[in-house]
Amino acid sequence: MAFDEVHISSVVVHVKPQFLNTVQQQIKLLAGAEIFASSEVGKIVVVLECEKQHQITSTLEQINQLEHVLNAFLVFHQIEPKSTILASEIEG
Amino acid sequence: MAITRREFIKANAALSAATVAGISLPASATNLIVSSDDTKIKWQKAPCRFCGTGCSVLVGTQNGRVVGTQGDPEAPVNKGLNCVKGYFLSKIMYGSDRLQQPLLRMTDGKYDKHGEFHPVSWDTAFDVMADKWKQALKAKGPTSVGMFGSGQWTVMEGYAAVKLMKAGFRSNNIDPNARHCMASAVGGFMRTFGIDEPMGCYDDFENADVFVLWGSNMAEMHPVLWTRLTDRRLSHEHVRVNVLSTYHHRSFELADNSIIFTPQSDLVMANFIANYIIQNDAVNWDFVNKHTNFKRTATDIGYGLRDDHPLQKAAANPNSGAMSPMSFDEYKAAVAEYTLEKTVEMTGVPAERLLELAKYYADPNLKVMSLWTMGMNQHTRGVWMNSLVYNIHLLTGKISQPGNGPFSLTGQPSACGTAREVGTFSHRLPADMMVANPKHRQISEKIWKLPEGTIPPKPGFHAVLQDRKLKDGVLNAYWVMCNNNMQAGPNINEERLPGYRNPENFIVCSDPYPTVTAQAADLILPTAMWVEKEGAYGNAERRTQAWYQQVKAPGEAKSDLWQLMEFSKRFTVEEAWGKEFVAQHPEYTGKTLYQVLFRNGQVDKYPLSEAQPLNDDARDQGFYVQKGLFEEYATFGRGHGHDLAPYDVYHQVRGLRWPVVDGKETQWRFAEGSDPYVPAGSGFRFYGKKDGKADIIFAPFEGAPEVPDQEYDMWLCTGRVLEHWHSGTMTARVPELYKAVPDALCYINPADAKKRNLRRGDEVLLQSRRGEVLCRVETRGRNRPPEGLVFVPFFDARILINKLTLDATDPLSKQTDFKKCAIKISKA
Repeated sequence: MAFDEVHISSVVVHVKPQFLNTVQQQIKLLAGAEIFASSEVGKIVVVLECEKQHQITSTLEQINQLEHVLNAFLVFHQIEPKSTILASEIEG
Repeated sequence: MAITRREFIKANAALSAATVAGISLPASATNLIVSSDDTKIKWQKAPCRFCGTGCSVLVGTQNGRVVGTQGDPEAPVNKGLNCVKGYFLSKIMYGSDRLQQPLLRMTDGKYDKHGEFHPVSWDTAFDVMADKWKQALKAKGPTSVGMFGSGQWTVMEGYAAVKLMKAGFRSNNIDPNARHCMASAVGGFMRTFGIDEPMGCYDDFENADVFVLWGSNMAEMHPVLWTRLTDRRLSHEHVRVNVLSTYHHRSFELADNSIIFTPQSDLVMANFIANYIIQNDAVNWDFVNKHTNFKRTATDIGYGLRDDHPLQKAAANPNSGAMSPMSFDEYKAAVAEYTLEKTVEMTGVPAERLLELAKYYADPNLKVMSLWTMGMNQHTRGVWMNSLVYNIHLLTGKISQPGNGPFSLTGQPSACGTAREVGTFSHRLPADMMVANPKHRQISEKIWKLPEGTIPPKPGFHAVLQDRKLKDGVLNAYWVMCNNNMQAGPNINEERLPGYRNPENFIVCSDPYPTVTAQAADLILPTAMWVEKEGAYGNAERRTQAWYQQVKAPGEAKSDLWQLMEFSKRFTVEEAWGKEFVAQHPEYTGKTLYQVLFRNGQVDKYPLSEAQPLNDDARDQGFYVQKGLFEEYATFGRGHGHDLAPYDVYHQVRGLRWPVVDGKETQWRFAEGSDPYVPAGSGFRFYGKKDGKADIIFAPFEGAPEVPDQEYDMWLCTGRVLEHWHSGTMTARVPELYKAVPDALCYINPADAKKRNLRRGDEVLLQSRRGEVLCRVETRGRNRPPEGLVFVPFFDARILINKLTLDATDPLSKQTDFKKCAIKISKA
């Protein structure tokens, strides 16, 4: 897969509520992962930015393997040419 | 406020996720969403191609290709969610080795069973194939031709196939791969309720207080339903989850009560719970008295092996499903044997966990949903086991109410819709009817406008029997469609491969990809898949969903429906039925099977103009073939508890759960107020049975056919993984999924590994009495077996674990037990 793409996807993570903060700290350490929202019932919204599509599945698996994670699933995925993203940053 | 495109897309992504998770984003994030992205992608709905959950996805097409899929926010099943397989659906059709031409084994330009595959035209392919069918029919009659189909066929394809086989070739030798998947569930439904498929629906997930998984790793196999269950558990403090399995898997992460039991001892646990309910005065007498009967089943019934197998000969009542009435007191005495003490001993489960589980069922104030898949169905006593769980729900009256009920999950997108409802089994006809029942044959012949006596009365060869009959040279012309049975079926070495390669036989395989099955065949037919054709599926909660064709198939690939119909054009009724039979019905003289089966004034009733502009199957036949087949099929069930809506409605809605009466779907069958077939004032009515009562059927514990011994000292359990679907034909061609889980691993307990001097990642030789494979061991990861058991998934074509499995089946359902056989492990 070419490197001139950016893959942006979002993931909902279910965790045991008492470990919400611990898991959030661990997710923040993963490359390209950003936390956008969370709920104390045990849900976290994570946005991933990767250069290769398979990094989405490997990051998802990493999240699934974290202790206290019950379930992590993908919701949204958009592929963008890197050039448009960079261009808009210059304009913006 | 200037925002960059990166921020915009990220905000969009976060909003989608937050919406499906039901949580709100900080206002700053939502403000970024100002307009939807301008795109030229066309989005249309279709049910997902994989498991039995039946998620609706939006399929994005651009320039004749599927470029994206997303969870359908309007779908009641998945509410915008997608699992990782569904997420990458757009890529399953575009593997680099997609078959685009028929391929025939040839030497010097002629068919040769020992030849190499060469491309041929469809005409040549069908010429050779029809010739083999005609030879077989002439030499040995209808029982020498057969077909192995699928719960992945569309409703219309399955219907056309069953009609072609049972009425066209007058052979009942058609069976679906659903036989490997949920035949035991069907057996359980038919015996207990007299009508197939779950009474409840997915709405139960949001209403239950307690969940019990009896042999199902929903977290990996039904991830979207697992999300609904997880949501319920997280948002309602009192909800409890019990997970029962023979090894620790991902679903245990959510378990409040974890139960790892000795293989086969689920029979003991279920009887123990029934005993506990009776001993603790928790029987719902009002319900039991009004709505149930007690029966006992014949015991010592063998293991569905060949008749000359020592275990079959040793059985007192081989294959017997006989049942006899018993009183409540007799039932009470029968289950009394299953004490807590005995159950602890036989299951290996601590007493407090068994009691916790039993108390949930016994507590009249808790609504319990029982769920199961292959752990219970792929079981040599699977039919018994299904009924034992129904017994618990019937004794307590916890059934057919929101949140209360047993729910059998299915593995294929249309295991219910096609395999079960259409009746593509060797013993069945549409709408739960049986070939052995003269009235049912008569009804079918009348709807099909065929002479009386067309459908043969004797059930045909089921899945495992087809393998045996191929090997024995009894079944000679054989068509495998829409599945990869060489890889997925049991005991490859001893039965199936010798059957396929038997020089007396001609094997045809229709598939989009060169699977293990295709490579073992003599003729490969390239097949159109999923949204390359119009179709309909039926999911595990009785929901029928339809979709339109959205792209064209590559090269010369054609749908299964087209293949079935075109093949039927090559036979006159004289060739198929025999001259004698036609002589009794001279009006059919000289007609082709195509004319008789598909140009009967019903299937061809709807003109091409009603079909979408892109509908290759309709265009090729000159009429709206999918609608005609669906409507003819629907006449079997309308007015008989299997009512379907008019076909066109299914293109407007996100599916409807049958029976659909007066435009209304049914959520809970057998319950007054929800099911239109239940008369007012009766509360419940199990109308599959003549007296309206369900059967509580006692069955005892009986052991597995092959258990570990000194030499073969480990249990082998096979199964699936999240990233791959069944044999990996489609998912292994999605680079992301393949890279995520490239190889099958042998999951083993660290203590067992240590005993054999094995380290994580070492290559080992796995051997059973039937075959061997090389595989790497994994001592960590998502599956953690107890000592004495290993788990190996079957998706990997390079690690054919089914060389090791035993073709022992449930003697009643004929479904193979892929979860239990004995193997040994050594360092390679």
